[in-house]
Amino acid sequence: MIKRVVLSCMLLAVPAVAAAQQNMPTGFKAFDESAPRETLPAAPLVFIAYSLAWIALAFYAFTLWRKLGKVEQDLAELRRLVKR
Amino acid sequence: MISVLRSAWLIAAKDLRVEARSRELVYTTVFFAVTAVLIFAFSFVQEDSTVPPGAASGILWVTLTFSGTIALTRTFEREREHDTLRGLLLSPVERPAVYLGKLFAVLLLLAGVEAVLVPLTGLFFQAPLGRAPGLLCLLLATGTLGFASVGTLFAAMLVRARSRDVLLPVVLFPIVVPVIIAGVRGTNALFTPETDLAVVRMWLAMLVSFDAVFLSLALWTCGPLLGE
Amino acid sequence: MTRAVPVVLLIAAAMLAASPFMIDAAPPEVTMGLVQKIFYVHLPSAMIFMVSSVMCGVASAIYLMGGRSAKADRIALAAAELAIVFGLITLVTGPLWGRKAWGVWWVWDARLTSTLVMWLLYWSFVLLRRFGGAGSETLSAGVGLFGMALVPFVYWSVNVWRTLHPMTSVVPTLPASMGIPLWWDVVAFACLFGALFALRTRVERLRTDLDSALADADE
Repeated sequence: MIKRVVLSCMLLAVPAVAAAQQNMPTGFKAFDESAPRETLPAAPLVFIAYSLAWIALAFYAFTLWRKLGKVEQDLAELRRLVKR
Repeated sequence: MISVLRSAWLIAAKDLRVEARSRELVYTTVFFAVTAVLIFAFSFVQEDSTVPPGAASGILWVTLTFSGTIALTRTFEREREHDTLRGLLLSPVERPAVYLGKLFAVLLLLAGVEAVLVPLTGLFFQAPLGRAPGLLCLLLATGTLGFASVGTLFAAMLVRARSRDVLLPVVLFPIVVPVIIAGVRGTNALFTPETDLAVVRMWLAMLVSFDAVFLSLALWTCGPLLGE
Repeated sequence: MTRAVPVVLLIAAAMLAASPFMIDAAPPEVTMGLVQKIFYVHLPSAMIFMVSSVMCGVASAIYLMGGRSAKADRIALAAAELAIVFGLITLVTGPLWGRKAWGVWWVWDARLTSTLVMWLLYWSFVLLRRFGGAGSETLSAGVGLFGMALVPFVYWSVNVWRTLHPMTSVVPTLPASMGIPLWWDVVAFACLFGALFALRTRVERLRTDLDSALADADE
């Protein structure tokens, strides 16, 4: 039983090793695709999500505020010209 | 109802007669479709001539969408050049008749494109066209109808708009997403070695209901949308 | 109405400023851990996205069927723009969550695909408005109306694929420690939506005023 498991593991490892060797001709350690990647930290993701949401909303509010200012200014200018 | 259909047919016949004289649209659209297929062949087919699974149906529908968009733009560009759409809208025909007439003409044109395009995909990408030719024709017909029913309406509305050439795909592509999904998945289910006809029929049913909803929506709104 | 806008905006800003503390106090989820906290901004923005897309569709239908009122057109335009803003937040926070929870940034799931397609549709609404020239109000109303009819089809067509996205039915079953920060954020986003919506329609109204005043001045 154990033999069989080891054998199949080795058989599976052959293509992985071959692929890894292709990827590292200069002796760098290649990134292991099959290794569990639960090392991804969650905190930056949460932080990025929140800050992007806030930036998007603040940016839209800012553009609206500028548009409003410009239209009101134009309107006031026009009224002034018409009165004259 | 009968009079609407008769005027629609007259409008379509007028378009077809114009087209039969110059053959500009048929030649250019078919040629565009062929070159598009060629580009897809170069980008997808592997060096040993194997076709990736799902490529044939995808290439077929993408080419159809792109050449359909070009055909729609050109059909209405022709009306715009001579300002004839206004004459058509001023004539004593109801808006649905104008819409249906243009839709018939576009559908016939696209059927012509498909008559070249489908055998070509069978030839270049080893697509098994003869497996269920009836279902394939139905998928193509309902898919083209769904695409053209929305496309004709929006192309007609865009005639007077600025930068209409680029705005037509911008507006049309998001709306026809379900047609493309259903068409590609249905055709793919037909082309894969283990064909499951129930899956094909499911996508066909979805295309038919899309056609029913969007055709009636277009007929209902083409009065206010095409304008006074 | 216009005087209420700064007040509502201030309330929304205060609530949003307080929300990180409430979210921090909420317990982390068992299987997903810390990353699940994206939920408190993802779901409220998705809700507002849906509200604004329905508003855009209804206002477009009213505009087309009911004699082209300028007000319906303004509402449809403001709703489409806000749908783009809140849809962007939904579409950006979603992948950040999914990358950790599912291991991939994106899956072609019914919910994700329909959100993306609808988001693109509101872009086409706004682009049409911006670059379509005269008469684009009618055209964009057509887009809004067709877009509303589109949602079930996109949903249906993609739903055949396996779905990874949690169902919204989890919301009523949330424990209070998670529910309170969630609804707090929903209210904050709704306030923000209301204020921005009022501002956007006001800009559009002033623009029409300006145009008509200019036309009067020309005579």
